[in-house]
Amino acid sequence: MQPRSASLNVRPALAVSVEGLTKRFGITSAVNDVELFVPPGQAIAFVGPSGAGKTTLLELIAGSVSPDAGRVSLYGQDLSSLKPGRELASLVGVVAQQYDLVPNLSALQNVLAGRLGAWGAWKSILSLLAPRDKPLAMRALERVGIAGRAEERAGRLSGGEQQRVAIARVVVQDPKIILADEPVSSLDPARAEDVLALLVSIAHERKLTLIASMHAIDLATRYFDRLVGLRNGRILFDCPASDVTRTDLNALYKIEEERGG
Amino acid sequence: MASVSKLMESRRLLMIILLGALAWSLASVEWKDGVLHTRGISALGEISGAIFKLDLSGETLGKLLIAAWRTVAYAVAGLSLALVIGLPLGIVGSGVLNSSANKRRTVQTLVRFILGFLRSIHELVWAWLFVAAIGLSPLAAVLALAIPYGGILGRIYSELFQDVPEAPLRALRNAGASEWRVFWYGRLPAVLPELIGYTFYRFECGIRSATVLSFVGLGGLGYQIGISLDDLAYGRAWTFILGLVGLIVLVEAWSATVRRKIIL
Amino acid sequence: MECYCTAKDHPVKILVRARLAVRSMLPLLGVVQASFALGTLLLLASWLFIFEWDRQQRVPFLSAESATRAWGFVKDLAGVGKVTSPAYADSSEWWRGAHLAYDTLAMSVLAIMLSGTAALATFLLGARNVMLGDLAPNAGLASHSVFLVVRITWAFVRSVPELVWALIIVFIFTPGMLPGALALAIHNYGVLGKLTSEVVEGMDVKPIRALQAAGAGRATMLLYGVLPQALPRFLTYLLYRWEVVIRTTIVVGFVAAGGLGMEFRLSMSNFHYTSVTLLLGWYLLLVLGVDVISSQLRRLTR
Repeated sequence: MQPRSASLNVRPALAVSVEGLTKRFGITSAVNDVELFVPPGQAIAFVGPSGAGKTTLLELIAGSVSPDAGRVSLYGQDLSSLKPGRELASLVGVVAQQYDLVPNLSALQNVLAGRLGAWGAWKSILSLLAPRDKPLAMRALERVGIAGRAEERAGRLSGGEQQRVAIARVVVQDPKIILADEPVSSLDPARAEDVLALLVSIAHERKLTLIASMHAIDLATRYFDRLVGLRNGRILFDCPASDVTRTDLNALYKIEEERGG
Repeated sequence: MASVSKLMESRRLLMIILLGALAWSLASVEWKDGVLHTRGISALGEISGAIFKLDLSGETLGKLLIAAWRTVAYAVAGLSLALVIGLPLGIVGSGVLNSSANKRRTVQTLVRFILGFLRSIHELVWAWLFVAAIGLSPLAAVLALAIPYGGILGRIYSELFQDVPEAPLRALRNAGASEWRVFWYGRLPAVLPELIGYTFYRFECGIRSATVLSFVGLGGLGYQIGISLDDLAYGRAWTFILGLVGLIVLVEAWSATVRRKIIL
Repeated sequence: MECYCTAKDHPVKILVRARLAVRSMLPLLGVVQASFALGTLLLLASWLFIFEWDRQQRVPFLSAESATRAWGFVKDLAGVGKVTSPAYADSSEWWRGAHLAYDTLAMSVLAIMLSGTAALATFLLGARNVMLGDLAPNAGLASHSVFLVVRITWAFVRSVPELVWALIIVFIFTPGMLPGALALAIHNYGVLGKLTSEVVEGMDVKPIRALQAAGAGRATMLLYGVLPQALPRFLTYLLYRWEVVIRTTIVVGFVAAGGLGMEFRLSMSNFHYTSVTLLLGWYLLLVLGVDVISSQLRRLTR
């Protein structure tokens, strides 16, 4: 047991660091030479027009897409050196837009699927018949406010409820970083705000790093610490949410007459 | 519109091919030798008339019950064995457990070949071969049924497993699940209602096939129908035939009810 | 269910009412749970029965003795250790097989085309929406009865296997490929009729009703609205069933005396096992060939 002070690292490790990251699809660059450093516990949102590269950047950080150039490290470890499956899942969890629950399984089973990376093979199969770690999943469902619908089939839940189940699943998975791709864009405004508030407060109380791509700029400004404006795969601005100006946003969303480099 | 007219054209081509096939097959019947027995028409009359002279004696009805039970037992045992053959082959053959595309293609081709062979030979041919090789045994019938049915189930299952929406599976992979666990938690639940429904439909077919199987002398409805016709006891034959129809209608109704319940 | 309101209290309606009543009571029983229990029971009973029965046989299927016999049979099929030369070494036997395979192919084509023609002529009469539902503005007793008769006929002819039909038909027709084809056609008529009428029942009726609103008569409506939508699926089913029919031709041939099936039977009865091997080879080729042709033709319907 070494005392904490013996660590030679002066500054705490960054949760996510992205250097010179580039991803091309054909001749267009979805992500072009992006640099980004995210300290632990920060809530950060990618904003920008459709096709700006928000989703691709998230996929690159999640490790589900590999870059053409540059590198991603999570808590000081190179992403390409992390094994997909258990090792990666203990660091990064994903909340998608929608339709990512298994419709024929109960809400409870969907939440427990967050433990699949940690469980052994037999435990996984056994759990389908008699759920394992049920208290853990029930606590998560309670936290997201739908413990009463634990036995309902996921396909029968409303859009908002489904996103809550997806959040509970990532809570049970217990990663250090949550990546959320347009987590509320398929919900109506009132429900979108509820679900987003829930996601952000869970990230805060568990001291998780939250990186989301956001369509609704007003929600992003209100709920996130920091906004990163993306356009044509490049970072246009990167500053605290309160510092984003009208001019920044106009530049971000302006209609391009002629497609330049 | 070019594609529409092309479609029309290919449909017309298909119609011409089919009509040509009909003409060819009709021409290859040897009509000139006479196709009816000299007593053919009167036999038709006797046989159809016998449907009103059913043999409802206690002895026949007892035989009917025993034969019906044997037929059901063949079908149930055969289908359960087919499931044991078809499910693993369907899972492996769908290639969903392989993450490398090369390996997937090899496995798919190999298993498709095996499944194709299994279902290419009719169950009665298998039954006859088994009986000729080993002798009469109900297990010969069960195995004979299980081989082609295993091939059919395997093919359909593998298509089902391949055809699952990708988004939930990706979410499971993101949560750290291996392809095996993605199968258990993502693919199997997604296809289960259809899988059960299709298996049930095959059970219906299995009853019919089990009837046919019993012709090689294994007891059962087909065997009883066969010996009744040999005895020219048309009324008794109709009793067994109607018993079979009743049994199949019953199973069809059961299967339809279950399928309606589980496919939502 | 608005489709029944025109028919007042005649037997068909009472039948339908009874069915609806039964259906509404089913949820109380928990159909799925009950079916699961029944299925498990059947499974256990069947296997117990079959193992017990097998044990009573002179040579149980699962025994060392039967393994020796099976191995001997495989050697017989291969013609190992026989004085006479195997059938597959004789080119005239190959030619005879080819001729039989050709006949069998013709039998399967005749069978599927006959059943297809019959199904095409009657499938509308067995479609609920055409006869009683949305597409039948004033369905009376006549259309109810026709519908019922057609449906019962289909259920009956497809419940009886091809081989049983063949057994009956050989009393009427002289042995040859025609009775075999007829037996196959009768059974498959029921199958095709049911499948095709289900396509019609699953169709989107709005465009068809629009035709009617535009003043089209009933015949025009069915001809231009229903047929073009149903035909491609019908042809697909026809080709799928052909694949099933070719596998069954050999079985029907056992009794109807056509093609490979009859020769297979004779060779089995005379213990000419090497010609059994040759005939099975031709049979496999035929099955494979039909599968290939059918999948090529299916592409034309898309």
